[in-house]
Amino acid sequence: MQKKITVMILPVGPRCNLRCAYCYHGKNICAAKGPRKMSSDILSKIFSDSRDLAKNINFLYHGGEPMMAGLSFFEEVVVLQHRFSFYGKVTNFIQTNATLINDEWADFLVNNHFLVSTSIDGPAHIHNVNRHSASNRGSLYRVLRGAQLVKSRDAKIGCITLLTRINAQCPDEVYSALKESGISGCAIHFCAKNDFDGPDLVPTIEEALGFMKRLFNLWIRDDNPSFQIRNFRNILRSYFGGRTLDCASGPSRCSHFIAIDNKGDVYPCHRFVGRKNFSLGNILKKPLAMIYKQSRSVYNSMADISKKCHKCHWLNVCGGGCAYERFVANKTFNGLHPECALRQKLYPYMIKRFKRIESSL
Amino acid sequence: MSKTSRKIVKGKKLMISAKKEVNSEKITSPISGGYNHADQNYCSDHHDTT
Repeated sequence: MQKKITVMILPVGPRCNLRCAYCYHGKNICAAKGPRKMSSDILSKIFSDSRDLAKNINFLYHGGEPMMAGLSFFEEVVVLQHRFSFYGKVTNFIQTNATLINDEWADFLVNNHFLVSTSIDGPAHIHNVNRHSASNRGSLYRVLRGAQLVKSRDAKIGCITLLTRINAQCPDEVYSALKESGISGCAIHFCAKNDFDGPDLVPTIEEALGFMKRLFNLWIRDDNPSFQIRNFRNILRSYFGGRTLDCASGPSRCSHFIAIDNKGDVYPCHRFVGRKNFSLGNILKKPLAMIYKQSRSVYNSMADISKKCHKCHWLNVCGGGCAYERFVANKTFNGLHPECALRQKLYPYMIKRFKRIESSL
Repeated sequence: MSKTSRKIVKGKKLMISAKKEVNSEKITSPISGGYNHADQNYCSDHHDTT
């Protein structure tokens, strides 16, 4: 039995109360068919089957917006997890837009040790441009209110920041907004070209590089280890011989994840949900451990990075990049990641700065 | 104390913190790219991802 796996659960599939302009679920958010919420049968099956996947299990509730399943769904999560005896440690994580968090939700999340992450793209005039409701109402006020309710209970909250050609112009404002929001750290994701008709928000390499360099310098200038930016921390850890942290920075890491949507359909990762070509099976028809075992070839093909990557100096840091993003960019997994050119310039810039700091210590 | 020795090196705390973290190496299991929580790594037991 493997030591650890992350089981991603999409309680309402791609459904969401927001209509972010760049969402990778695209039209699926509105077009989602079938039951709105994952049934108790499926949820129960996930927990009973997950025991056979790994000793220690992370359950990560993702979406869409997972809180649309309602508090009662998550109360059932806690009850069911107590009912099944897992072999090792179970940890619950939730990635939410935080707009639905009220006192009741905050009490529940903190009391039941859910680790919470949200999404903030910058100050209101930047964030609200892309992260808004169907009626175009900006979401930042509600996000910060939700985050504050969690924080006020002495819990930390992290966030994802999506880099678009809009916030790429304002690194200082983005950094200030992130710090002021009270989050304990963030990870910068780059807006990637989607295969649906959405606005072109993908920053150019120059825009993204300029943003990342400036953000990096602000982070260094701040010099505050309690505020971490995962992209930079990865390189810094690697500089000291440590491992990078996230799933995308190692080509075989996808196999440590499996995702299940509200209909019980299983996918290698939440980003493939809704893509029939990547459906691995249905949990009501086959045990999850069997689906996982029989999907080796899919995970292996996701780990198949470009030959150029194998010769690259930065492979141990970059890992070839996110398999989903490589697939969307190239229609195959073994093409170069769309951020390759950016990383080739950013990594040496950062390493040079680390060397300079180290030499002055 | 000389002026040079009092010079504050920006990034020093980040470097020391990362070095300590790597040396004590609790972090091990890959994190989903679509999620970020500062404490997530400390919830992980050792897991060889290679």
